[in-house]
Amino acid sequence: MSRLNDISSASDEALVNASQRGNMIAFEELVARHRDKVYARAFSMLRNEEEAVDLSQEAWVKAWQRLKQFQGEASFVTWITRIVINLCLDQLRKQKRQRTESIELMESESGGVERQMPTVTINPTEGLERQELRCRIDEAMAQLSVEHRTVLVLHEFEGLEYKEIAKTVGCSIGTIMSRLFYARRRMAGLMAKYKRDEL
Amino acid sequence: MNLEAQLKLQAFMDGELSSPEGREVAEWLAQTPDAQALAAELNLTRTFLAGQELERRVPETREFYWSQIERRLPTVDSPAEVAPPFISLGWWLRWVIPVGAATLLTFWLVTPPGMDRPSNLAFLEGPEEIDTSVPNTSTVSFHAASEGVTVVWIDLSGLN
Repeated sequence: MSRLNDISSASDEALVNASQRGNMIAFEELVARHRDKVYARAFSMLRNEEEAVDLSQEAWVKAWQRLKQFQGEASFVTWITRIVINLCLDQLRKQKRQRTESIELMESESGGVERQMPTVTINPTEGLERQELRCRIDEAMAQLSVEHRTVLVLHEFEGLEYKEIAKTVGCSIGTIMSRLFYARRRMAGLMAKYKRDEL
Repeated sequence: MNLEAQLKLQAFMDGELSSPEGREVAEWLAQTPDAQALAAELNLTRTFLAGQELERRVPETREFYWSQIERRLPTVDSPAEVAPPFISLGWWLRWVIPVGAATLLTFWLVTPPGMDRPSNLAFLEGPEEIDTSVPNTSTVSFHAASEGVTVVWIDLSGLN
């Protein structure tokens, strides 16, 4: 096993190599470094603190089991984030089976109020401090349907292309395109509303 | 503007269209005010979302969070070669019993004569002769500790 003289200053790559050889101290360091990012992604999709903690931990357990499969094509953070995203999607599918077909769910593809919504012309982010803007975006994201939020997170925050999102979520590209379109329109509408309320 | 045109405009702005399709949409966009207004809104949304995700921290300490992960790890395979369980019945049978027997034998072989030994192991003391009392046969054994050799003579002449 390669020696990690100073584990806190070792690169992710070195820590991954050591972890692949069974070094749990190296793996713990990887967890410490990236746990917030993994948790934040789980929370952004589930909007539930307890579930997000649990699934983020499950993602680390799965990562440990599958470490030998990690070949370094993408960064370790990207890889672990994909694991937590897949776990969240599984969880959301379970929850979807349990809930009835709501109007909100049907509107995800066909568009609800967003279809008739006039185009937003004001800049809803004008004059906002960075942290204030982030909080407002987060508040608006919480108002979206699960389907809208998922595509928005995967496209805007994870930078996935349409076909990658379609493959990950298990939908057609057309469905992803319409969900993304209505999600963006709803976001624009919500942000504009917050701005109007402020004035 | 129908949904198909709106989605095409979005795909154009996301860089998802091929070059010929993209040129076609760009020309249409330049001539259509409604499309320009929608493009501006989509662009605004894309811009304010980019890199503006709220940072969140795990609501638990590093130690507690790790301990909960660690607790789940021993039940799953390690990525490294998993060593066989240190104490298992098979392990004991394969290694401990033969090694123990060999150690005991060695102990008795090197123990100086005169020390207390169980009577059923007295044949290990030597060199001397040991007589057996099988009817019609006679057996004599000789053990030389210095040579580490035990020789047994079996006289079967009495059976004839």
